[in-house]
Amino acid sequence: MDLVQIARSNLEGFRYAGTEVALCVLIVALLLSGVILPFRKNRRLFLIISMLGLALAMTASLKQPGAGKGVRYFADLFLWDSFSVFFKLFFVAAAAFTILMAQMNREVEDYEFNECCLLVVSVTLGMVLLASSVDLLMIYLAFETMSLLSYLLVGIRFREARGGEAALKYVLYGAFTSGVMLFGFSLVYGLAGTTDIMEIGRILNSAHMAGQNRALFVLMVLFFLAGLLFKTASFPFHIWCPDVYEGAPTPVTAFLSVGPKAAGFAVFIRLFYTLFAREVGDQGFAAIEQVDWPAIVAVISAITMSLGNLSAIHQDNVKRLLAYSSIAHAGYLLMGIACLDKLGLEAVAFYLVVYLFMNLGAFAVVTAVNNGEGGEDIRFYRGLSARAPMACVAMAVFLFSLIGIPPFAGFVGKVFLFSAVILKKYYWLAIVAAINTVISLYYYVRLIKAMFIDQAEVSFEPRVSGVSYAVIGALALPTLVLGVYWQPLAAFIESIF
Amino acid sequence: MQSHILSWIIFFPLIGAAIICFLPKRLESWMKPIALASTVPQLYWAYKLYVNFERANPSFQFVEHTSWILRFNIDYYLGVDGVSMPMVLLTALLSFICILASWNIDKYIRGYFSLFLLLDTAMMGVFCALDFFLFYIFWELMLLPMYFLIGVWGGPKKEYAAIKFFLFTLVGSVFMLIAMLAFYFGSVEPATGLHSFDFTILANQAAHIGILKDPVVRWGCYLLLLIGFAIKIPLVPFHTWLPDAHVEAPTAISVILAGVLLKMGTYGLIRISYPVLPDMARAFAPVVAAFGLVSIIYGAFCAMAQKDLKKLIAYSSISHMGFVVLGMSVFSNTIGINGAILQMFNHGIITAMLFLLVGVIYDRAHTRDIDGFGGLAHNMPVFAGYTGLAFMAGLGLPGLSSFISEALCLIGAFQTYKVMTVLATTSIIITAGYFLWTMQRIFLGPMNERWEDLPEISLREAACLTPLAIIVVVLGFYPMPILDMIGATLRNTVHLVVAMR
Amino acid sequence: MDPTTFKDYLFLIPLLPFAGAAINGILGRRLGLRAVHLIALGSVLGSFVLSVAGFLALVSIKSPEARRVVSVLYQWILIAGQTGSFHINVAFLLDPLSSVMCLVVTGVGFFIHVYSVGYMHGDPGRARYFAYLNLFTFSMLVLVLADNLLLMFVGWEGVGLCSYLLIGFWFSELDNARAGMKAFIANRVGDFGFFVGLMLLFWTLYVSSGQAVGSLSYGELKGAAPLLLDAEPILGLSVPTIICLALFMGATGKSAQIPLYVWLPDAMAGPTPVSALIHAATMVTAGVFMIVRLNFLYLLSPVALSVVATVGALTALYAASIAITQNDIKKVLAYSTISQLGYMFLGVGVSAFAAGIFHLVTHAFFKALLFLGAGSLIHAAHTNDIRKMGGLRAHMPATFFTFMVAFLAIAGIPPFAGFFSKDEILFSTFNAHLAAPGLGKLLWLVGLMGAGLTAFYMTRLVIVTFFGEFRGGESAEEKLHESPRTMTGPLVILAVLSAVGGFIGLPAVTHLPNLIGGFLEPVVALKGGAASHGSHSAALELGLMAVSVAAAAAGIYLGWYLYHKRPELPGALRERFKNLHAVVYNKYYVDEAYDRLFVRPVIAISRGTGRFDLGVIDWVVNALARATERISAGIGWEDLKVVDGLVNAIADAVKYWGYHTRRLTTGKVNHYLYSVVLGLFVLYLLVLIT
Repeated sequence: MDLVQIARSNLEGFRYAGTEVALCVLIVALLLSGVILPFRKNRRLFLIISMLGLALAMTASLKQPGAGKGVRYFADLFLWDSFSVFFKLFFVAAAAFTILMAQMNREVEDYEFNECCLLVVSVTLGMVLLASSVDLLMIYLAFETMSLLSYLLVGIRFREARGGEAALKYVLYGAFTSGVMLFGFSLVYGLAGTTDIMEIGRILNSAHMAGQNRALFVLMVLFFLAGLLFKTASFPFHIWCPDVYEGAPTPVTAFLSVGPKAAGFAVFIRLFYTLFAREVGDQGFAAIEQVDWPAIVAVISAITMSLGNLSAIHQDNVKRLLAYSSIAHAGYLLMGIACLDKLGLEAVAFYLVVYLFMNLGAFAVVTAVNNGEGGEDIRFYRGLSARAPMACVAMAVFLFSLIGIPPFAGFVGKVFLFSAVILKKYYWLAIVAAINTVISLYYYVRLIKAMFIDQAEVSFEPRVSGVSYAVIGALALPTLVLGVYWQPLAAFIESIF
Repeated sequence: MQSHILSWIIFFPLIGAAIICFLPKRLESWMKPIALASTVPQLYWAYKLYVNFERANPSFQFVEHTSWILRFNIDYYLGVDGVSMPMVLLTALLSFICILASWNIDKYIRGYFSLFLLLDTAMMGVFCALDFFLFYIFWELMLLPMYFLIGVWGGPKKEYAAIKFFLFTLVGSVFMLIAMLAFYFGSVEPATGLHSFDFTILANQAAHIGILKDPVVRWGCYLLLLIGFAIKIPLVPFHTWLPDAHVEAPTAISVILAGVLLKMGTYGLIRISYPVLPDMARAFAPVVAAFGLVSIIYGAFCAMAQKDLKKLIAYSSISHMGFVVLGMSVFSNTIGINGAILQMFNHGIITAMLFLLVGVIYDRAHTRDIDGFGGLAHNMPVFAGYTGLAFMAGLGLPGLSSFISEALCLIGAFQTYKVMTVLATTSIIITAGYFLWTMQRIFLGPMNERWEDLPEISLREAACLTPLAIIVVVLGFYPMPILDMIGATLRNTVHLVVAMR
Repeated sequence: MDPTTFKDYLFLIPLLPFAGAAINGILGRRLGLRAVHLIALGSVLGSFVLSVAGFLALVSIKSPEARRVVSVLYQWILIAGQTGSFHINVAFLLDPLSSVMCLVVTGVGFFIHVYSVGYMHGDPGRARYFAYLNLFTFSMLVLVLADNLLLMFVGWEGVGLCSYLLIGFWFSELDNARAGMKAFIANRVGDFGFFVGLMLLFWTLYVSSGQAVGSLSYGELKGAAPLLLDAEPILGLSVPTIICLALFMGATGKSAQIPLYVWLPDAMAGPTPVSALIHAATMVTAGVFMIVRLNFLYLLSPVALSVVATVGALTALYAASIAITQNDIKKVLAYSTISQLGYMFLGVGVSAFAAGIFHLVTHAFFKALLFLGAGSLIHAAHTNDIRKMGGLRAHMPATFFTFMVAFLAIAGIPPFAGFFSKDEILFSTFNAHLAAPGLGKLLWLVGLMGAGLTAFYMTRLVIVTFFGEFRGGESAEEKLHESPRTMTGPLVILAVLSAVGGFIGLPAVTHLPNLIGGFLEPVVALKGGAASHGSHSAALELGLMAVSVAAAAAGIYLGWYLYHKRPELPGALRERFKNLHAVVYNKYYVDEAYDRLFVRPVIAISRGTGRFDLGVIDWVVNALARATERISAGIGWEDLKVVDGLVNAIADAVKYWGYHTRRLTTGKVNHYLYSVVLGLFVLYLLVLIT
């Protein structure tokens, strides 16, 4: 293959890399505008630039591949398939909402805003790359792009001790776990002799491998899990999560709880379902024989959700509470991954979409309350419904959705996950998840109670701007609508697996 | 040609709720009339249903069927049969009366009435839904307004009561969710080959496949549903949410809670558990009957021990719902199950009366301490008369509606569970004991000077109570309007349960 | 009237009083006094007239067997099953038995309504009173006219309700209210038995006949009853026995027999006309009526009949003994009622069903008269205590004369009504063949002793109230007056009935027709009763008659001697047998025993249950919540500490073992590393487990 051909094929690749390109353009634009324009005065301008760029990225992602296995591009390092398109859309949307939230947020100072947008978009680029890469090296690269930049994002308020400590903790944990994961990658490479995961998958699942190398496989699975469980904030690598979430500015927390977490799940599915499982029949997959990793994931899922929910009960800091809640939701999502069939994957994807809306929505309200004299503590929420009724109603919607009560979208997500689990006959897991739902009710409703039933403790006027209302509304609407009519989304997600 | 009467009856209150939600603050005084007006058509449609219902037809009528979510083969499927008809009538009537009874609400009027109408929609939905998924959504939809209605407008311990109610019922709901999904994957619609949530398909044993053929799964599903419904009914020992919720809830909400919500547990058993898992229904029947018996006796004894009038009535509800459970766990005859459904309706009416009466006295005296009253019959004779009627109905006096239903439950149960039924029959003594004792402590004896100035029952309150009182008396002498409706369907249900080998 | 025409009007007999009750109950306070009276009295009079018409219609049917008029009003309950259906009608049956009962209820009832007009003069709650009284009449008529057991139960409980309402009519006095409640609950205990019996009857017939005897109507039950004999015995007792005993339990409640009689003396708290109507003449006889109505069942079980007879005889003697010591005129009469009801049960227990009904009728006359007379006395003397009366003969001649007639009737002096009916019962008892040999003779002796005691305590009552000096003080004496016409009128009429009422049931020895026995013959089975007279010699009959008259005479003489001739003697005797007197005076402490044995334990159980509910079940629920919170506190708040602690411990251990940790700086960094290692280790453990 000569250079011309390579160049041509790479050029060809740009047809599929619209999102990546758009994001790169946006990064450059933000960098340049940040250099040229004074930080303090142009908050709104940066916002507009970011939104335009993200809208472009969104449009670029909208093109759907037809049926089939998709198209490889950029030297076969990337794959353009429905799966990656879905996650690209997801990440761009998450970034857009984050930036909107950052705009309305007072924690992110004016001079930090450009930087914040830049970092969010860059992390998004990393995630987008991650979603589409099918090469071990590329995956690692994208993974680190995402991770490193998100560490920076957490420490964006470096003048605050809390932020710095959180960032450090995040960095250290991240470094260790991704190091372990990289070791896992090297083992895989050593075994298969290639970095193309499709190829590796074929080799690992071949009859030739069967019955061999159990210890090696165990190590590989363990090391892979370390990195991925860290990213998804699941047991036993969840410890960083509450501190980091609490320390970071609220929009960043929101972004972390949705974006990188979803990216973690995306790569989890990509890696495990390609490397350690093979498609069997129309709907299902079969795990490699050496390690029963679905069972491990199921157990981890149960522990993660229980731990997250139980820990959340005693939190008085709403951000911390939502941090634990996000751990619990990682546990729910892992149920889908443990199922090893298409319904499980659909459930994960569907739940992620729903989770995007409801979780970002909850954080958007927290952001709104944080402004002005308000704070993150639950006492600021007491009696709030009298002063900010719409925001409180929206918050109630998000929280009920997080519990999984109809007619909100979270319920449908739960139905998907429960269906997958029950179809797979993991009845014990279904029961555990059911009980967890009840436990989660307790702390979510605690917040609702504070807003609607309790008397006000701290009287402050929450300043919820028009933009905030718009954002909250934009998040609440799908949370409601998807709870009542989700056929289009379900059909779309059914088509990607 | 589909009639959309059921959709209207379900969703019309929601329109009212939406209007109230967005009504400007200065029109606050319109909210109550709007709320009342949005339940009136419901009453009219309920009446139309009653008139047009074909009594000899055991299957679903006024059916509306459209597909809704293709991915899970979920349908928007509504219909009523003999079991749901009385419940629809009850819901429509009590919703109307409760709005009237809520006229003295003066805190957050907008919120109260819009939530109440939302609750109304959810309740109607539960009784009309024929798709399990739809049923489940309505079932859960009740929780949210109920939580707020107790939590915001309730008494001193409202927060505890509200969250307790919410947690308890959610336990039941999530268990039901698991069973529901197992049903879904264990069934297949013959026409399309898809899994189904459709009650009519689920009830067809031939449509069961895979996991639903596994006896262990069937057993587990039945147990999960049973726990879910037992919490709602509530059966001892899953009942402790009820006294708290009742005591703290505002009057109208207590009425709805006891009058309609409790019925959903037993309704669920008949609508879902029995037809889908008839073999398990038979296997579990003695256990369920025993729980019913325990509830009857235990509830009655607990009621006797209460000092708070509302709590007493709450416990009496537990006792009376026990009759329903006992009656419907007999399959060797249709008398018991007919009695059970009739008792559901009758108890709905009587307990509504009782709670309204407690509301009347509480609004005046601001206490419900039974021992604190005395001699009220002197200055409130009409109120005493209504209460006397309601108490007599509560203790199952022949000539009033509940006698027939309780007697039918007992007679029906006696065939299969001789000892248990005899034990259950002793409750007629205990029940008479606590009702009469309460009557005596509140109304009889010398005039208590502290309450000398309590005004007699108002016209609005009497307007709430009178229709209920008339129904109690009329059904006592002529229960056929209800029995006529339910007979054919129940004969079918029992046949279904018995027929499966 | 033509029976077929009458059938269409049958329902009016109960309906008229119901309409009266409804109008007076709902509109009573707005209607004028005259209107209230008119409605109340008119409705009962209407019923009475219709009852007479019904009686005549029945008599007009030539064949006694065909004297049945059934009128089906509408279908009350219909439940169609897979096999057979449960269908209960609201249907009324007019046959000789219900016709007699109707006449008594409406006739005596009407006179008592009239009497009440005078008695309740000036009471503010008159409208309510008459509404209750009409409601009672309605319920009682439903009870006697019902064609099936379930409908009868409606009347059965309805009269209980009215009794409750009327006992507690003057509810300002908490004691009155309590007495009402006691009556209701004692009745409910009986109803429990009744209902169990009903269920057992229904299902046994269902199983035996293979199809539902779904209407529970008497005709159907009678037809199917022999099937009961085939049923498997339960706990060694035959099924008919159990059914009959269970139903009899209901009768002991309603008719105040041992062991459920305790409510009746307290029931005297109600207005006196109520005591006359409900607690003497009609409601309390419902148990007797029920057994006679179901005689075809009882005849299947000699054991049950013997129990009925024994309980009746014992009650007769027992209550009479208490009556001797009581000082409240109404209490004396109440115990007397219990005692007389005992005779009725003795009668039906020895299968002399017609005799039981006969005594029921005569008792209704003379006991209503006694109560109304007592009411007249109370009205004048403003006290119930006979020790504060005396010498009233002079002030109230009409009351005195009528009361004397009743006294002679109840004492059993021929030819007054009570003599014939009581004697027939005793005679039948003597000849009865009961489950145990010799039991009949024994019960006859008990009954005879009761008859003697009856004569004695009635003599005491009459002498203490009407003879001697007035002891109520001068101011009270001035106010003494004869009662108004509305009150004395009914007294006179009832006195006439008490005097001549016995002639409807003349004994066989007279060779004159026993009207009531003959009339009832189609209803009650031929075995026993009036029909059996012929088999015994006239000499025996006359001899027994003489013995019972002698017993009565002895009682009267003793009473006259003790209370008139030697008035100081009773006090001395009381002193002499102080303990015995105390026991009897305090009604053998049965109320106290019941309180200890049943009431308090039930209340204790209820308190216990209430506490159990809060202390155990709710506690478990709350403890579960608390435990969850505690756990969450453990792993939530302390999450980092626990994990960090573990990590630190590992770090320390590692350091201790002197690995190459020295080169790493201590601090957070390596702790994080260790926690990652720890995580990996946990994961590995999971791999091992799964």
